[in-house]
Amino acid sequence: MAIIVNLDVMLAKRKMRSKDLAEAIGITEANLSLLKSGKVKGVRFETLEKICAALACQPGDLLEYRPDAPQDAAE
Amino acid sequence: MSAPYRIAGISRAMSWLAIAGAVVLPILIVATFIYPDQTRFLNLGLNHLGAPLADHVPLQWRLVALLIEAIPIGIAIWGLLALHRLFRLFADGKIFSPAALTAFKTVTASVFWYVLAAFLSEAPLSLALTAANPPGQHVISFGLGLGDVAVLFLGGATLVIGRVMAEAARLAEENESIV
Repeated sequence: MAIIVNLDVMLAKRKMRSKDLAEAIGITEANLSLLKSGKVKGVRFETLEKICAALACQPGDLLEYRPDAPQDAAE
Repeated sequence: MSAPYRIAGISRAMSWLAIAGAVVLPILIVATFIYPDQTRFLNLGLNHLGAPLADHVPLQWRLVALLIEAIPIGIAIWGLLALHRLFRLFADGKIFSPAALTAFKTVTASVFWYVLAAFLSEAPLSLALTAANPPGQHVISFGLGLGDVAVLFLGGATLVIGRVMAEAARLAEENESIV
C-alpha cells in the first residue's frame, strides 16, 4: 500500500508505549499493532483524532503517501 | 439486555429445538407407519389422497411406504441438523462466519430438496399403501399443494436472505479491518 503509517516514529518521539496508547485511545493492542504495520484497510477519523490528541501531533505526522514504496520498506 | 446477548439466548433455544426436531421427527414418522390408527392424533398429514395410512394396510407395505417416506424425511433431518449448527454458531457470536453461511445454504437447499423429494415420492408412496388392495383399486397419486408452493417460496426467500447475509459478512469483515 502507498500509505505509510509512521506511528512507531511518533511513539518513539513521545516516549510512549504501544500498550499505553492503545489504552488511551480505546482500541486493542492487536489492532494498534495492525495499524502500525499498515495492515488495516482504513482508519476512522475518530481513531485518528484520539491518536493525535494522545501524541500531540498532526495526522500528517502519522500518515505519509509514498507511491513507490511498500509498507515493509518503511519498517 | 444487549442485542448480541438476546441473539445468543434465542439462538441457543432454537438450536435445541432444531436438534430435538431432528431426533423426534423420525421417531414419530416410524411410529405413525407402524401404528397408524393409534397415532392418528398426531395429525402429521401422512394420509395421501385415495391412499390412507391405516392399520388395514399390511405391515410389509407400510414398511415399504416408510422406506419411500424416509427420503424426504431424511432431507428434512439434514436441514434440521444444519439449522442446529447455524443456531449454535449464532449463539457463539459467529453470526457472519463462513461456517454460518455454509450452514444457512444447507438449510435453504434442504427446503428445496425436501419439496422435490416429497413431490416425487407421492406416487410410489400411494402405490405402496394401496398395493394390497383388490385389482382396480390401486392408486397412484401426486400433486403440488398450496403448502408446497408456500414452502418453495420460503426456500426462495431464504436463498435471497442468504445472499444478503453473504454480503453482510463481507462488509463485517471489511469493517473489522478498519480501526
